[in-house]
Amino acid sequence: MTQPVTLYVDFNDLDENRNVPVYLVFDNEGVEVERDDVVRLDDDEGNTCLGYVISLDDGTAVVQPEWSTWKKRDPLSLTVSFHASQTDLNKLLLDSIRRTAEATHSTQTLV
Amino acid sequence: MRLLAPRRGPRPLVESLTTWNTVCFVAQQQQLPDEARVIRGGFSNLGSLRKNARRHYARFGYYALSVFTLPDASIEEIAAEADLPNDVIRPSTVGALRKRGFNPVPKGRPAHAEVRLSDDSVATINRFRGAFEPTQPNPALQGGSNA
Repeated sequence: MTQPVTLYVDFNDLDENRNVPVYLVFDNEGVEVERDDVVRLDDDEGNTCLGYVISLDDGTAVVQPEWSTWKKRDPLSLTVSFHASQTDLNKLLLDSIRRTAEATHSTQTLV
Repeated sequence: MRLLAPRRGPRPLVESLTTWNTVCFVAQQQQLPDEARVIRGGFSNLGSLRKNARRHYARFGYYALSVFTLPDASIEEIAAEADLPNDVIRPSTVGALRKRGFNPVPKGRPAHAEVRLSDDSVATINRFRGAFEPTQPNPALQGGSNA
C-alpha cells in the first residue's frame, strides 16, 4: 500500500473553513502534489490526519482535513508512528476519484 | 429633490483598494487590551514553534506565529471560536506577550492574530513560550472531539 505524502503544517493556521494552508517551501520543499491528492498532515507535535488538496496557488496548497482520520499524539511515546489504515485510505482515494470525475464533468458541461 | 442613483457594478479599483487599505490599517492599529486572554493550540514546544516560525518566514519573509484572542472573552469562548483540533492549548494574555516584546495583531479569520518575531533564535522562541501558561485540555473539545 502506498502511503500518502506527508506535509508539515501548523493547525493554528486553519482558515475560516477549517482548511489548512500548506507552504510548499522549507520542510515541504520538493513535495509534488496535485489538486484532489490525498495527503497526510503532520504538525510536528505528533498530531496527524489525512486530507485532500483542494487548491494550489503560488507555492501554497490548501488542504481540507478529513477530521474522521485525526489521530492525536501518543503522550507515552516520543516517536510518532502513523500509518493510515487501509479503510481510511480506500475511503479517501475513492472520494478523490469521485471529486476528480465531478470536476471533469462540470468542466465538460461548461465547455 | 434629486436622488442619487444607486451604484451599479463593481467599485472602481482605486476606491476599492483605498477602502481595503483603511480596513487593514484600522485592524492593525486596533489595540487589544492587556487583559485579553490568548490561546495557542498544542504544546508549543521549542521545536514545533521554531519550525512554524521558519515556515512562515520562508513563505512571507518574516517570522511569525499564530495565536487566538478576543477582547472581553474567556478562554472557553476563544477556544470555541478558534475551533482547533488540538487536544491541548496553552493560555496567555496580551499583556504577558507585550511584556516580552510581542504584540498580537488581529489578522485573518475572527479571533486569529499574528505575532511577529524578530528572529528564530532559541532565546526569542523561549521568550515567546515563556508568556504562556502550562498546557490545559482544549475546552472546545470537552465532551467529545470536534476533530
